[in-house]
Amino acid sequence: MLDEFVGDFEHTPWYRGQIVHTAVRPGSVAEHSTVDLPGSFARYLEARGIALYRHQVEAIEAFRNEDDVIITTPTATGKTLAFNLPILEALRNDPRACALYLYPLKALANDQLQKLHDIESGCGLDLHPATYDGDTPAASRNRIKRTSRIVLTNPHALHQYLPWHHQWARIFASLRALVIDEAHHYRGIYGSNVAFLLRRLLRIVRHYGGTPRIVLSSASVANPVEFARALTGRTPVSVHEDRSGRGEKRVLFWDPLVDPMRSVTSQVAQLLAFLTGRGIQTICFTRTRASAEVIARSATRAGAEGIASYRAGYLPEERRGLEQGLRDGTIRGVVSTTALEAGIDIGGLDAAILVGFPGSLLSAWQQAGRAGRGSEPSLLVFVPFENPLDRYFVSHPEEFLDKTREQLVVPLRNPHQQAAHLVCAAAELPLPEADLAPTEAELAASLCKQGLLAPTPRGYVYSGLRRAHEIVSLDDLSGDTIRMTCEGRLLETMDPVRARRDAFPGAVYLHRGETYVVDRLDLEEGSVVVRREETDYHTLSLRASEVEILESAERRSHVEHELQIGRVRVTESFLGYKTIHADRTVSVHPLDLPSHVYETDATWIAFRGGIRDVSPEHLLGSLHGAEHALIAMAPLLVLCDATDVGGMSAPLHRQTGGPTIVLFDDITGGAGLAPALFYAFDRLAERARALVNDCACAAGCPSCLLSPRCGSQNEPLFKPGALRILEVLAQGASPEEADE
Amino acid sequence: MTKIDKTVGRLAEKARAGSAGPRLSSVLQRETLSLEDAFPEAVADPSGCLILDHHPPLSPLDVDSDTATRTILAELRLVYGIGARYSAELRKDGYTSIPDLHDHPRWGDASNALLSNWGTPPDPSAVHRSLDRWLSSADPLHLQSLALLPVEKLLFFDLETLGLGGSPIFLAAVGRFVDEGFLIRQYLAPLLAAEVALLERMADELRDAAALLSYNGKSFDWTILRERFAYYGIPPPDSPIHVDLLHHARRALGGDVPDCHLGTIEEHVLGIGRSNDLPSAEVPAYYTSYLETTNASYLVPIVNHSRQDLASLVVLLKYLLWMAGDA
Repeated sequence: MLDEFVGDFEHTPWYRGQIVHTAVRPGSVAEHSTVDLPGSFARYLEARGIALYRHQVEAIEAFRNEDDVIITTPTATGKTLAFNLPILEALRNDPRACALYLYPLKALANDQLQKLHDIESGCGLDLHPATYDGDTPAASRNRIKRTSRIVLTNPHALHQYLPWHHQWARIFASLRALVIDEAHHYRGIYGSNVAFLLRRLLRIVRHYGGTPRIVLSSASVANPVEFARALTGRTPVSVHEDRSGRGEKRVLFWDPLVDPMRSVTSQVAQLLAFLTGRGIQTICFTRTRASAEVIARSATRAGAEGIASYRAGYLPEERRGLEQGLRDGTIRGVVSTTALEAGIDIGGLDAAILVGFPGSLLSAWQQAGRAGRGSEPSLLVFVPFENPLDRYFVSHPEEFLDKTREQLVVPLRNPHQQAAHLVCAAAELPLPEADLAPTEAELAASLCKQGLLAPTPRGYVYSGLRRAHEIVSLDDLSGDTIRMTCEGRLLETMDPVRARRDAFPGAVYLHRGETYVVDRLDLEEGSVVVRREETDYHTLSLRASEVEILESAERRSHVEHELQIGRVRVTESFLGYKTIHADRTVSVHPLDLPSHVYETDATWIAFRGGIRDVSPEHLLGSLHGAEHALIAMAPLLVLCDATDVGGMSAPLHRQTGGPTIVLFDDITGGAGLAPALFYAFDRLAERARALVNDCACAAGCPSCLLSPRCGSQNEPLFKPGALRILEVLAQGASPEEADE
Repeated sequence: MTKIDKTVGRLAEKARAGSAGPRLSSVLQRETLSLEDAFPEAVADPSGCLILDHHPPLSPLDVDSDTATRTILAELRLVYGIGARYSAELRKDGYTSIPDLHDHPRWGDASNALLSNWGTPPDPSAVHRSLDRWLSSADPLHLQSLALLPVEKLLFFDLETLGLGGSPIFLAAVGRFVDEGFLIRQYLAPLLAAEVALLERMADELRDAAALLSYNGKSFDWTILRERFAYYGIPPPDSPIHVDLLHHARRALGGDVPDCHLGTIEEHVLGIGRSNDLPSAEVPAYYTSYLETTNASYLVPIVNHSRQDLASLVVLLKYLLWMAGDA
């Protein structure tokens, strides 16, 4: 049926051949399986017409088998049911058993609470499930701690409650299951904070005699077991093969550059109007709220009916209205920021349009998963922006379709974080020296010198004057956190590096799809004040970095160069900023900000001497271009934003003694990304080479070498030399590895 | 300073922020004293904490259980269903005590059930449960009912901690009436490692007590004590009868004093003047300075401050009882 529509495009006046590639992800037949369940559970499933899929039964059996489980099947494959059934069964069989569910956001916990109420009453159980977080009324708190057998909370709240563990003694002592839902949120530095928090939780639970199984649920990733191990310190069974039976998905790569006379927005609006006009219920994902609204308006002008737009922060009733409209068909199309990507149950639609690559394949396929109802075919349209990664997918669509290549990284070696969590752990229960790893023992000794810990026969005891859990925040690792507020409301917290770079006075700042303008940045006080304002321009800071290598941990030698990982000290200076309207620089402004010095993890490439076929006057431009291409491709291999990785190129670095490219984690203390890139470097280099090689431009363009975030305004860049360098770097990669 | 120390240093700065500016030990010159010199009377408990006994000149508590029993029985609101309005009506009709309701058509059953629950003579714990249930925690009857208990089983207590929560307790003071008058016993941790011993001794003290008396202890001291028991896995004693004199002071004296800090009440109501007293807010910094320097002279003002707090509790209780009896 979808074939007809695709054919139809060709007869519309606005179609200029933008579909440059089509692919089909074949459908699959559902594979069911059975498992003995208590009578009331079986009746519940039967009443709702649910037949369990094989992967659900696998998860149930693993839990019954006393294994930890990580479930990474796609959206809408019954993950929640797969862990709720065995957990409720365990709670039914042991009238004291309890479960703790952890959600990244309060809103998700509230949604899940509704589901739990439904299944609980459907199965004839009475477990008093309840959310417990900052919104829980004081009057309910004691009752929940006394009677609830399932508690749903979030990491921030848990961090605050752990020191009061004796109030949770009942639940911890009989904790049967710990659920970590939407676990892919816990990656990078935040992920490692959660990993340390979970270790603290498990230590306390052990103290009370609880022996929970851990169930993780996550979007599809390349390394589920390794990820879970980093997050929880334990090795789970992985359930990742989707047996739910899916309709085939047709994927269209829609290249807006084919029709340069019309903006991306208007092309998408036409497409949306076209699809919804033919009764194809469509969801369209955009990066910003402003563009969501523009697309929704233009589609309506183009004759579409029943188009809604959606963003984060909608009230529950507004959301329910949307869900209802989508179910009864009065809403035919919805244009949304990433807010509708996951967690919220809007059911399946027919088509999804992704306007711009959302930064990770994990996100892209979460969004794509919104289209598809059971075995019905569905449509995905990817509309790339003009940046290297988006354009790379146009020439390498197979990489877009292979969704399990990304690694989730949870770094556990950042000493600031380790120290912070040691302090919290010691404030929760005495911390016996014997339980500490060597690096932790070193930190503990130093913490004693500073008077934060005191050695006692029971172990280290917290001896600071302020509450440990108040001086350590999960969003903050270094103690230097900048708080961004709008009209007194906290929007987010950020590293001081980020603040100088993206939140300088006058900067246009994007937060969850909303545009803000920075009024004031006070680094001493740690605050940024912004105001809501829609602008027709964006801003970019102009910066220069110097990198000093502090220590090298590992190296790999090649004919012309050497690859190393280690610690570096980055000094970033802030020169000014420019405002950009429609890709043109409108004005340049000076900035008076102190330079920022921080230590972080890095991977660097040091050439032994000159590089063959690259002349000395083009050396810097060539290195700089190669650096940009490598950074642009990083998100393909490690789940991060391209903005998480910084770079610096030098024709002669005083420490390596040769031409050098340094890629480093753009976060104080490091986030473990650079080491991950080191180990995947062959694949990274091959992709960067292909990106530059396949781009038809002569001197570098936004689709290959130009970076909108470059601190030196993309000067200088030399494409032939960059390609030559990337060829050298990719030589280490054999063809099989490249296609692995 | 090693790299690790630098990493940790920022955290340490945060932990201190908002408390002391420069470290006390660096600005304050004090004579250097060893623990033995500072507290010659101290007895070292084998478990590691020091025990300091002190007998302040306090007269015995003048209470009488018969009067207390009569006062309690006169409180009709302790009967299930009787509130302020019914209580006033019943009084008008000549019912002045709970036993008077024995044959009352409406309240007879409830009052008989209450009296049999209390037993004869009234069991203090049962009475206390009724008071807790039906009366405000600041009702003077809580104070008067203490007379039902053997006076030597009343335990006054007060803690000194490093912070407002989650921080170690380094000094616990308890006080009780003994044959020779009043005894204040302080358990002092000469090292933070001795906190666990201090807590174990406190657990024993609490188990022996029939009722606790504190100042702001319901929200502070008792909560912290529970938290620290849980921290070390020490089984907490059952929640005893606990009378928080702050609640009573606020009700009885709140209008007459600028605030209800114990020091303010001492000054304005009890006529106690403290000379050279260490302000409570500075106690943690003094203890930290002692830990840094091992100079016990930093501990002397803390120990004196804690003794004074505890002695004032007794004076305050007497004053509040006198006011309640007078009313």
